[in-house]
Amino acid sequence: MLQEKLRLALVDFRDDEAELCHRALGWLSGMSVDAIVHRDSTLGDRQGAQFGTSLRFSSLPQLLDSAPESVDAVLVNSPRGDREQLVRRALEAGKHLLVQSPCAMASRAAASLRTLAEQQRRQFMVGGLDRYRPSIQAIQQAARTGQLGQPVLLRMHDWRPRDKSPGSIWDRVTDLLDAACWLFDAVPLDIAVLGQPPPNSAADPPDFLQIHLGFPLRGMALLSTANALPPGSGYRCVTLIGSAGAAYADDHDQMQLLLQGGSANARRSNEELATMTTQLKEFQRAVVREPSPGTQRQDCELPIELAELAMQAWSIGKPVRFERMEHGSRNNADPTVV
Amino acid sequence: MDRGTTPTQQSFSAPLRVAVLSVVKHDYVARGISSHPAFQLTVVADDPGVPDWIHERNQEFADRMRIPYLRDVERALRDFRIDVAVVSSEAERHCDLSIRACELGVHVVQDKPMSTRLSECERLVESVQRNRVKFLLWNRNRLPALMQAEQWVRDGEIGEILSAHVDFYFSKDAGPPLGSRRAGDPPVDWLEFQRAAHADGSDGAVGTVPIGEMRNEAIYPLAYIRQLTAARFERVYARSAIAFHQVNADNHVEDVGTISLELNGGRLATVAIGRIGAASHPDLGEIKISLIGTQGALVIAEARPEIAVYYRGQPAKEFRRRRLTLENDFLLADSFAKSIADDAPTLLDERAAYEITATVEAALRSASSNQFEPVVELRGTGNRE
Repeated sequence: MLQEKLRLALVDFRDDEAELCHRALGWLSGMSVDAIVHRDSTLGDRQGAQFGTSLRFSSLPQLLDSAPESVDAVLVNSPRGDREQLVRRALEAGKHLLVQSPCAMASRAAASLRTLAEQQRRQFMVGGLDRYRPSIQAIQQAARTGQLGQPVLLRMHDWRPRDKSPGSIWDRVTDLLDAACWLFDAVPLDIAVLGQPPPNSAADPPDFLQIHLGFPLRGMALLSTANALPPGSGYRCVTLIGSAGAAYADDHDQMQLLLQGGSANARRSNEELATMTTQLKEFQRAVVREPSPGTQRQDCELPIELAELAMQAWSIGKPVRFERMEHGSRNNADPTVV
Repeated sequence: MDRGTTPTQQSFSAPLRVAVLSVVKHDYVARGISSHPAFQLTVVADDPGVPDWIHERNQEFADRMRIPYLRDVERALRDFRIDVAVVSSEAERHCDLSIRACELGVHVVQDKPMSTRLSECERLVESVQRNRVKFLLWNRNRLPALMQAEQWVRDGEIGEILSAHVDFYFSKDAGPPLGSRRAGDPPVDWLEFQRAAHADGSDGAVGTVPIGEMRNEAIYPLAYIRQLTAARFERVYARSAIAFHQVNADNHVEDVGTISLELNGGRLATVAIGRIGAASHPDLGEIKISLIGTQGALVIAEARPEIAVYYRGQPAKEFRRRRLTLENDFLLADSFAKSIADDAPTLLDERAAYEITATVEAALRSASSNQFEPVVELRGTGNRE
C-alpha cells in the first residue's frame, strides 16, 4: 500500500541528474528520495547527503534484500546493459519503476518487462525521453489540439558532444523515434538510414546518423543525431509542419548572450529542470492513480523495435518497411506506400 | 556596401550589353544584373509565336526599362551586339533560349529551374562548353548569412564538413488550400493560376508544364550545400507529398518534400523543403543551414541580419521581419562579370546546375520508387572532375 508520500530510490544517477531531481522535487509535493543506490560509493554518499537519507546501497538487490519496505518506487539510470535485470528485480519486489530509455537491450526484453509490470500491477514508465521536454510537449499540444492540422513533416536534430560509450548513438535513435511517433501520433511505415563513422575510423560504429521516415497519409520525417561535437554544448531543433500550421523549437532561437570580451558567448536557456519535473510529475500521477492502463506498447518496446529496424536499414543501405501494424492507438489508417 | 568603382567594372572598357530573353516571371534576375555597372540592359526579345500575354509582359518590362522589345531573338542578339542574355521565360523554354544565345557566342544568366527536362540541360551544357561562353544559374548564394557561413567554413572554424542540412520552407500560399475544390468544379489550371499570381511575384513556376516544389525551389538549398561542401551528390532518398495547395493536387505535383543525400567522400546531407502556407510562419519562412564538421558545428539562419517592425494597421501579409543588406543580386552580377573578365568558373555554372537538376530528378524518382536512386551523371562532357 502506498504511503502518504511516494518514497523513491535513485539508482546510479549521475551527480547532475541527482541535482536536477533534487531541484524538481522541491517543486513537487508528495514525493521524497528515501534511498540511494550507487555502484560508486563516493557518489552514493554525496547524493545521500544531498537528499538527507542514510539509506545508501551499492546495488539494487542489496536495497531490496535489506530494506525492501523503505521505498515504493525505483528510478533506474544505470547503464543500458544493466537496466533489464534491475527493472525485473524491482518489479518482482513489487516496486513501481521509472527507468531511463531505452529500458532494455532489445524490444522483446522490453515487452517482457511491460508484461511483468502488468502481472505485478505496478507502474512501469520509461523516462529520460525527449517527449518530456517542455518544448516538445508544447509542440505536441499544438498538434494534438488540431492547431497544426494533419502532421506533414517533422524535422529533428539532436547533436551532442562526442560520446564513446557503446551503443549511445542508437540510444539516441530510440529516443528520437519515440518522439517522432509521439508527435505524429503514428508509427512510420518506412525507414531509411544513412550513417557516418568518426573521421579516420571507418571501422568504428557511426557517430552520425540521419534517419528518413515515411508515415501514413504521406507524412515524413528527417531525424539526425550526432555524437560528434567537441566537448561542451549540444544542439537540438524540432520543427513540426502540419497542413494548417507549423511549430518550431530551435536552440538557435533560445540563446542568451554572455559578453566577456571577444566574440559573444551564446548560452542556451535551460529546460532540463522542467523536463525532469514533468517526468516525475507524470510518474507520480501514474502511480497514485492506480489501477491505471499502465505502460502501452508504443511507450515501451516500440521505439526499441523501430531502432532495431533503423539499425537494419543502415546496415543494408536500403529502406526497410515496418510491417507490423498492431500498435495501439497510433494513427495508421492509411498504410499506402508513397 | 560601397558600390563605387568595382574591380570588375574596371575590366571592361564599356558595360556589357544585355538582352533580356523573355521576362514572363521573375524580373528580379534582369534587374539584378542591371544593378551592376558592368552590365547595361539593351533590349528585350522573344519569339514571335509566343502567346499574347507573354508579349505583353515583355513589352511592359521593356517600357519600364526604356529599352526596345523585339519579337525576334536572334536578330536582337545580333543587331544589338549582345554580350549577355538573361533568360527568365517559362521553365520549359529556359534551355532552348539559353542554347540559342550560346550558339551566337553570348554569355547566359538563367532563372531557375535549369529546365523541366534533364535532356535539355545536357544540351545546354554541351552548347555552353563548345561555344566557350559563361553560364550562371541565378541563386541565393551571395546572401550575407551564406557568405558568412562560407567564410567560417573556409577559415576552418569547424574543420572538414561531414554533413550539411538545409530547411527551406516558403510560407507563401499558392491559391486555395488543399481540399477546397467543390464537387463539380474544374481542376485548377496550372498556367492560368501562375499567370494570376504574377501580381505578388508568386509565379516562379509559370509555364505549361506543372512543376512541384522540388523542381521549382530545391536549387537553392542544393546550391547552398554544394557551395559549402564543394561536394558532388551521388545518391538520393526522398519523400514527397501534396499537403497544402489545391493547385498542386489538381496538377499532381508535390508541395513538400524531404531528401536524404549521399555526397562523395562519405559526406551526407538532408534537405527539407516546402511551400507550407502563409499561416505557418510570420515572414518569408524558416530557412536554416546546419553543418557538422570534424571540429564543430554551425547553425545559420538565412534571414539574418534582419530587424523586426510592428505597427498599428500593419497589413496581414506584410513581413514583420525585414532582411538587411540585400546585396545578393548585385554580388551575383559582380561575380558573373568577374568570371567573364577572368575566364573563371561562375558561382553556379552549367555543370553545377546540371548536377543539381539531376539530383532533383533523382529525388523525384526516389519519392516514387521508395528506394535510393543514383544521381545521373552528365554524359560526354565529363561532369566528374
